[in-house]
Amino acid sequence: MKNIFTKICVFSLIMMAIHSTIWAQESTTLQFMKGVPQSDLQNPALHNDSSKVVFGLPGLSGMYFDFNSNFAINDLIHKGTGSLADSLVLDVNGFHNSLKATNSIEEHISMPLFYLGFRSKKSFFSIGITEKENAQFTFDKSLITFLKDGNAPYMGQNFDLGNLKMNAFDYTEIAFGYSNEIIKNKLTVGLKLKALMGKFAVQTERMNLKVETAADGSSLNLSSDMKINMAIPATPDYDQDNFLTGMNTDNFKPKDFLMQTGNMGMTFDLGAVYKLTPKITISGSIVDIGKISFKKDLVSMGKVSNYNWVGIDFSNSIDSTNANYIAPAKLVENETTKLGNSFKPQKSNIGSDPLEVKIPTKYYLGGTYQINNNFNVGLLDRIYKNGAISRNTLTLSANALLGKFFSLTGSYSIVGDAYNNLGLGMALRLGIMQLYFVSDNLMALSDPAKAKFVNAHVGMNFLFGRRN
Amino acid sequence: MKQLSLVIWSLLLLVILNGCNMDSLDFNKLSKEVNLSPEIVAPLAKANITVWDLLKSVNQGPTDITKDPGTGLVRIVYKQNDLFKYKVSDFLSFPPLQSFTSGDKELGVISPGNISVSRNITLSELAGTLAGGLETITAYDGMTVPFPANSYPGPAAVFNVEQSNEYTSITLSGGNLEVTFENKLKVPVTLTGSLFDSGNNQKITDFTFSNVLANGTSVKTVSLSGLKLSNIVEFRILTFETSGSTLPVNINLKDYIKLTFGLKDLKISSGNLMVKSQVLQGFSGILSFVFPEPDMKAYAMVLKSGKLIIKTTNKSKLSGAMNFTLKEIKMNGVPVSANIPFDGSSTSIDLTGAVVNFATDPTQLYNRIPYSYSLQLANSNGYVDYFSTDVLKMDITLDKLAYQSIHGDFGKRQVQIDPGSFNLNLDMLNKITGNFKLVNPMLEMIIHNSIGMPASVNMNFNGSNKAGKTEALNPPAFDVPVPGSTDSGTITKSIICDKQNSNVVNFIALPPTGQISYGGKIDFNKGNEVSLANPNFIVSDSNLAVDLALNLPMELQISNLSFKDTSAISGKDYDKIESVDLILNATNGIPLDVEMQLFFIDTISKTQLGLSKKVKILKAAELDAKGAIIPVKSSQTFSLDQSDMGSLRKANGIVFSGTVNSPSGGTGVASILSDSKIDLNVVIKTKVNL
Repeated sequence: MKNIFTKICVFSLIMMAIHSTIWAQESTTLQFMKGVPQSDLQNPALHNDSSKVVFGLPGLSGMYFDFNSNFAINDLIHKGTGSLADSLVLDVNGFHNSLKATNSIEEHISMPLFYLGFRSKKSFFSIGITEKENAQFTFDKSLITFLKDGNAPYMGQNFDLGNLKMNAFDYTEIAFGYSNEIIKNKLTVGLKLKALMGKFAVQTERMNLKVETAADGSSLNLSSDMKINMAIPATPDYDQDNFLTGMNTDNFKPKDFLMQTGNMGMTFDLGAVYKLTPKITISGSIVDIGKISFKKDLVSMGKVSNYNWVGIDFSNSIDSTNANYIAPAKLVENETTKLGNSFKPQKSNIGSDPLEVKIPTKYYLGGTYQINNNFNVGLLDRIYKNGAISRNTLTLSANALLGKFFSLTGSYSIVGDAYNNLGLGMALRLGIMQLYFVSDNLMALSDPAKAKFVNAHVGMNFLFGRRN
Repeated sequence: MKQLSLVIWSLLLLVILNGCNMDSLDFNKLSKEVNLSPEIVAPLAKANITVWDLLKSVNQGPTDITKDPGTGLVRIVYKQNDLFKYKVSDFLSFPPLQSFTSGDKELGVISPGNISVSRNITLSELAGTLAGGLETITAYDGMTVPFPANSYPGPAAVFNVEQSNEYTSITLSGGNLEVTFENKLKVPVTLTGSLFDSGNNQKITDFTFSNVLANGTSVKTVSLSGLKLSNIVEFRILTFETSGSTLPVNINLKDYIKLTFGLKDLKISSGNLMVKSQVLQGFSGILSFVFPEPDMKAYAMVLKSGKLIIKTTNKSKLSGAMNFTLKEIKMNGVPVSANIPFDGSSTSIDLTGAVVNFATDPTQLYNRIPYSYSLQLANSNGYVDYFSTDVLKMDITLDKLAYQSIHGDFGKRQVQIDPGSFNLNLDMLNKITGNFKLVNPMLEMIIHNSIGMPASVNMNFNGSNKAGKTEALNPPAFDVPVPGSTDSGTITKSIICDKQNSNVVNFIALPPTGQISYGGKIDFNKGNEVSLANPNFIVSDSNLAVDLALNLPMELQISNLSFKDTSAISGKDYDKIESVDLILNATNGIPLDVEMQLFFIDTISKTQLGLSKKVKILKAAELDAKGAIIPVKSSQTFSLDQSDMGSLRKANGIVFSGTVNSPSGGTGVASILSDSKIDLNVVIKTKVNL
């Protein structure tokens, strides 16, 4: 029976992991989950597992993925009504209504390559190597407003399509952690120092587009202001007129890319856990305070463009015998080229400005109330700060340890303005091996199209010297 | 443990069941319908177009558009070059080959040259032959004594003469015989006798030389006309008489008398003789040209090319060459001549550039060319028989004749202009129907003529429009301009058909978009007296051509002139467009109101699926008190609403239909000036359904 139970658990974890790899979310459920050592990723002072040694193998110790946005896929694509009841329809109006003034789509991927932690009396030391990636796309609602309405309702106005931002970066993190129970059974503090080695980065400093339509429609003025900084293993290519045609990756060498050390950075984590009463414990942490300074393969593009479209002037395209005659097709081609060139960066717009990427900082503040030895409830507030993006997550969790080998956590989170987030965490210990899975939004699995964010954390630990 | 298992299984089931709910992400079910209907407004096109640009752009046919330098008034000029063209060869023929024959030409008499044969008769022969006492003289031979007188009474003593080797026998039609007596004796002599033709046994002539002194000479001449003469002749001395001398003289038996038989200026009409090199002069003849047109009279001609071929036929036994001369065919001012052997061979003479004068025969001052020739006889080899009636014949051919110019009287001729037709191909006219009138149209016939023949042309044009209505132009008859000389080349003259002398206003107002047919006749030399002093003339490429030009000053009187243009479309291409507004902001400098309407049609079933509202897209420019154009600004919206778009989507063709009016509701005259402008700005405002 135990054997069957074990198989079922393993199977369910794998199935959930498969789902989670596809649809996952930042996990606040994880922090108070019993018996899982990954809680120190969110608070270097918090160790929910009592093992003396924790070991994670490359590719096995864990995989984290999250995807966040201000809207759900369902806001844009959903089942239709009437004759379209069996179909999915693209609902731009609904999508538009669901948007805020500024909207973002963001994803993180984190893949531990190595982890080792060990306990020595009241201290805990750890070292971890993790590959991390972050991508973010931000747009203003006005962009969709323009696509939805066109420019006719805004004749006589300079319509601001807002700012577009596309940021992404990738780095390798080498983290050294230390925590110590300063006051016995009362206060534990922790610190984690992280050396960061940047691989690539794309940062949109600004990208703004405006469309000004004359009151009588006789002109259409397109203006843009763009500044993008990049650190990428590619060099710009230009045409004979010095217009940028693309990025050349002929000299790209994967090995050099993976092992590069030219873009160094540093962050640190601080955390504390204070046991207020025997049943009440509070904790707080700041994770990832720091930045990466990219100094290698820098490419920056900045251009302020303006194009005033007044229609194609056919004055010289009427009389083909005129010396100044230009064929209409050629005229259209010229105008199209002129329009394209107005916004296409030239060599003079390309530079190598320095690029600094701030690592998104996470602030955690929470506490637990111990119901009994194997069960507590927790409340955690998490503030995620990534440039202009700030997101608050409030999570209520119930954490149980069943039979000393199976950890089970259920949670409910309010993530931004999303209130329908039921989370689940499970960890199954099989001897020294522990399999775990955590997700903050189990509802995303039932109807992923309605999810505004998904995350998952799944992995396997090798635990040695566990006390209970 | 059971409870735990139950919890785990419940959770697992929940996850799996929930995880299977992926319907909302099955994008295969994504409908193509997108509930997105942005309304877009954008300037589509603009243009600052002059009338000149517009007219040039629509002028795809053989039409030219001009503008008056001063006023800028636009004129549409249609030109049909060589509406008809007649080369002179179409009605006048000049055969490239003319053949003549001289007929048999008798050679006539010939002259053998002077013939002279002498006979010396010594005193010894006289003494031995003649009796009467002269024989005694032999005794005084060598002595100086008085020469004794002597008289011989006869009979005749014969003294043979050496035979002539110039002939054996000849018949003379002229010439003289000279008998010369030279007295080489030392005493005077009187001699009678005769010259006798032994071959013909006839006496040629008697002679008497009286008292010819010592060393004296006496000549007797007689005519030989009509005489037949052999070369065997003899002197017969009938009497010999001398008075002797009183003084002693040296008697020498070798002293002699000399008789000479001389033939001079002989004209031999026949005979057997040795022909001497000589020239026979005075032969001539006429080459009479024959043309296909019997009344064709050529006075003179300059040849571009040609060849004179002369072949002789000689029926005599003479040999030699003919010196042939055409004194009225001149090359570089020199008469054409040739030396032609009359051995039966041909001689060819290149006549390129030759100038021919046909008008030297006073009896017929045209079509005739005189010729002359002489015969250069060669020495004969031995005796030949000759008769003055022997003949020589010439065959003369003028071949590959091509003329550069001809002067003459080419007669009265009438050429029917081949009926023909043409299409104006005026794109603008093809696309319009309705009432319009050009106030002052002109049709111009441009005549190009290089034929030196006065001519008058009478022709007509009949135009038809697409509806089959016809109108005749009724142009005036006109005379063709004639060049002054062959060097004048082609001269041009225009005949204007305007509203005063023709029906051109109604003719153009048809408009003649169907066919324009024409026909007529040309009369040459009608009422013209042609003479040598006032000839017709042509050059090789002379022709008469008439171009037609329509000159249409764009002074229009238009009332509801409609134009249509149909374009094939695929209505389905517009299924994403809910409505369209075309906003036309214009400053119109053209005094024409333009309205536009669209018709959506199915060209297969030939049904009209719908139509747009008629919209005035251009408001006519106004005129101030001085008639100057004042541009008018307007902003008009041409809308296709959802209903129109519904019709458009079903259509496979769209008809652009417009009407144009000149000022004052079509009663005023709109002068279209080349620099009148339309400043047009087109804005499209469309609601698209994506």
